[in-house]
Amino acid sequence: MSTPVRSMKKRKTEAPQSAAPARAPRAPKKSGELALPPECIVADAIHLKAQLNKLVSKPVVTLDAAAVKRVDTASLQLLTAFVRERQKDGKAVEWRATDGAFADAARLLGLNALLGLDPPSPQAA
Amino acid sequence: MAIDLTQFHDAFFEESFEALDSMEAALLKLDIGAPEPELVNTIFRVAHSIKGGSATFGFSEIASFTHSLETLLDELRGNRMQVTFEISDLLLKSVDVMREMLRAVQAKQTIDAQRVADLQFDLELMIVNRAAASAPAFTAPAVFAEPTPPVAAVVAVVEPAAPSVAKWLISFRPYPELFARGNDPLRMMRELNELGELRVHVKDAALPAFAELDPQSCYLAWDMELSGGAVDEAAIRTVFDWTEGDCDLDIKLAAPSRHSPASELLSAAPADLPPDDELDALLAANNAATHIAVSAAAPAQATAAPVAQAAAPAATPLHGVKSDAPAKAEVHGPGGDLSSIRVSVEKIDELMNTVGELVITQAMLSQLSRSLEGPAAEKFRSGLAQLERNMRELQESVMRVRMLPISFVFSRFPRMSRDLAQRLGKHIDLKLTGENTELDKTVLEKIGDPLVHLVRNSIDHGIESPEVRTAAGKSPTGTVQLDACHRGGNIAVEVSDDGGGLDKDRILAKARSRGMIGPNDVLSDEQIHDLIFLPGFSTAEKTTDVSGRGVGMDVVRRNITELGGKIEIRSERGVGSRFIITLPLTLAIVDGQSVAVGTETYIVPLISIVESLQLKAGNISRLSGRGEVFSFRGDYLPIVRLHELFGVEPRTRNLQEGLVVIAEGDGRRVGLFVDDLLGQQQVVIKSLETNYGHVPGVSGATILGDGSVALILDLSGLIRAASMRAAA
Amino acid sequence: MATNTAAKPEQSTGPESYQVLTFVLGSETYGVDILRVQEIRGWSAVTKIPHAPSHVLGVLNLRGSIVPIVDLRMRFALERAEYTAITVIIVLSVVSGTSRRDFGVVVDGVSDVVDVKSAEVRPAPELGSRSAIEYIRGLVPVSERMVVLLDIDRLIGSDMATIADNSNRDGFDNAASAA
Repeated sequence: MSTPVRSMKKRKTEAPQSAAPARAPRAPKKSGELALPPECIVADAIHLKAQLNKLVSKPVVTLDAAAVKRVDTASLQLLTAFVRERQKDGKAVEWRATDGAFADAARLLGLNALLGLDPPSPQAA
Repeated sequence: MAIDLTQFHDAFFEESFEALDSMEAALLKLDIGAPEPELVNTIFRVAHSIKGGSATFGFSEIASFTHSLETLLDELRGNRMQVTFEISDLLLKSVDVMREMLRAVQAKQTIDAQRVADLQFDLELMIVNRAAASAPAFTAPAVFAEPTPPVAAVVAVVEPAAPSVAKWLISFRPYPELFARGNDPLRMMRELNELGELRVHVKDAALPAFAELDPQSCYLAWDMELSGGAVDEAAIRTVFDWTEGDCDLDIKLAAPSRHSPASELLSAAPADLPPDDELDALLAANNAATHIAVSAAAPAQATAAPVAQAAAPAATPLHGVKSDAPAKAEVHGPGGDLSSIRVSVEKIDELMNTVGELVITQAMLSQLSRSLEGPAAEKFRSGLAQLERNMRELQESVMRVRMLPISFVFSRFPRMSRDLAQRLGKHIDLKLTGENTELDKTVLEKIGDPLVHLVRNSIDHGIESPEVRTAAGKSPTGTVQLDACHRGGNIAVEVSDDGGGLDKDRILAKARSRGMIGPNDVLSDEQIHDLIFLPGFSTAEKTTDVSGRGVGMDVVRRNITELGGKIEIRSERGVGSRFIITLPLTLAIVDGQSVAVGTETYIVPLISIVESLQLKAGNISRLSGRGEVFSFRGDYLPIVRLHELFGVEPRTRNLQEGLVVIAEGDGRRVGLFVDDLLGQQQVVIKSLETNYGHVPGVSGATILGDGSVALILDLSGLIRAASMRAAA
Repeated sequence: MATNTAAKPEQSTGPESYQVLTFVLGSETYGVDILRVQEIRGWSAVTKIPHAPSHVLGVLNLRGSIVPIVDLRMRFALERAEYTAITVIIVLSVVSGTSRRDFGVVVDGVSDVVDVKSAEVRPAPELGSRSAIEYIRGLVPVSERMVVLLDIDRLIGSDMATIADNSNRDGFDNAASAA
């Protein structure tokens, strides 16, 4: 049921030097992006964890929810843990295109704040 | 001396069953989103009248159950509760239970107390939750103590149980295996969100570090606040139904909110319920320009809570319940109307029999009068002719007394289709037309079962599942239509559907594999469709218990032919099927053609006759394997020699010297070879089976004008008997 | 058509004795429980029923009901007799289960109504190959004659069973049907 995740693009860019505390430019060359699948459900949660695991230490992580049609508590719980993990290291998670199903679900579960979705996510590129 | 009430029991049972039927009909018509008050009132009145009657006769279990039902219905009637699917189902179940109870009491058997208790508990729970939700909700007096400006004393909504500002605190602590059990808290939040205004606080204390987290275990918990007028604890618990055993759940009512717009009007939070008369006085003194109503029906909780706006979607603030003392609630059932009277079936049957005898006697007199001569004889004969006309009118009038609208039979189908469709996962739109068409009571009683079978068939095998329908470009909702009308002196009842139609290929294959037809037989579409009437024939993939095993189409047809009717099929693959039943208006009388075979007279029902003719040598042939046949409209029809079949010595054995009556039955047409045609008349059907038994090919007997007995032919049976004879 | 209804005398208490209508068939006298007798009437032409057992002559209109008429001589395989002016039909009521059926039996003539004491009834001997025991309740001496008491319920009941069996087959022939 889950669709293959787009392979991560490795960009060799300079991590921007900003004052935002969430970004730690320790490893300036690697940033990670993950497009969440249309069906983010408990059945695929283990797979999602594996994918997120690869991003845990990236300097920049962007999660793209544009394709998400359905998401459940297990997936949001996982993402919450992920975000928290990043925050422990002083890193942030950037969100893209979360408006719609994703944001609704997060709101209903009261996970907005923990996921870092509040205030409204940055617009899709 | 106590009055013996048992004489009234029958009337009570009869009226109660009828009332339950109207209650069920009203429930099925009810639009859950916008229930018509009149329907709700009807339902309430039914429960109320049954309660009263059963209490009077000492049927205490029924009275007690109906009392709970009445209380719940009163809440609905007063708009203090909203009609939901859950409640509608509960009420339908109550109808079933009440029917059972009435039947049990009527038959002097024991009631299934457990079933009643279970359902009564559910009813009580509904009611209690309603009341509990509102218990601490109101004090009006504080407001009314001083003369308030009319604006503030806005609308008094009779809502003793409406928690316009209730707030529920829900603590939801899932166990880790909640996900594994297929539960998703998100779904519950969504549902709660629909019930009212939801605030969610997640508790993530137990969430482990990312690395240690097992993605399929649940570590989160939630505290929630749910506010809304229509919310009650039962509704909340229902949301969490599936999580039983997988979580800790705590639901409690919060102290009334101080932030709802309604309370802004109040200077103080409501605390107590005012006694009725005090409130009345206050209200009277208030002289509010708005509509204030107090429900006398609410059990001692008359309350007025001013609300400026709809506190909950369900309660329309401006809607008041008319002061309607339940004690006076009229029940306009069939018993309350003096322009009609109840007559027992036996009396009508007696009347019919007597009229039938009159007809026979009159026929005898006419017969005798033929041999009279002289001027007086002429007058006598014309007098008799007048008598015959009067008799015919009398007969028709009495027949009409026995006629009832087919709606009595149709009425069971909405409920049946709804339940069946639900069970099978199909979407069915049932249309009933011609419900006012009247037919004889006995025919009515016997047409029910065949119709049930046909409708079940349509829903089960005819209408496809929504997916299949959509894929075929049809609307996912299938239509089943029941129609009745008078047509040419008969009744036509039709069951049609827009389902998949009959699969001719499968029918042919099955018939061939069973040896019912030869491998090279060529059959017309009509003949293929008719194959399904053969005994033991069913091409359904699996016999669902819905359509029933052993109740095949052959039984359906037999039932119909026993009524003197016939059934035809029109079907088109992919489009749908029509089952057309033609029935005589009455079982007691048949229009028949008298025929002579030797010294015997037989009656052939006109409904079966196509045409009568005299054969010429050129028409007649003999086909190998089929015996004597004659050509008729491009087809070869078999000749049935009645004298052979019945073992009677005929006037002539020469086909060209006698007559052939082309008749149909059992889906086939044959030519009946007889000596003479004697005339057409209406004959009163007498049973041969009461004292003798069933004779193949004979449906009954009648008494002719000369007092002798003539047998009435049953074409279906006759054709079957003739076929077997030919095959032997 | 002489029609008279047999008087139904007072019922004697208990089964110790009961009343019996006796009639003649050939040289034998038979009797049936008076409570079963509906009426007695003269002979009239009957309407034949296709392929009925040969002792069932046909049906008659009896005050609006269609009643089958059985020739008891044929039933008992006695010599056939001509139907004369004194040939009589006794209309009997047979009870089976909860239903009641009326039947007419053709007899040579009706005799008296007699009182029968149960104690005096003797069992019937085997009469040849006919399993007469089936429908004979016993023999009782009545003024120098032996009256054969018939169990009319059993007699007609077994006929009914045969007729019912035949009618369950759709065809008239006794050969098994093709379907």
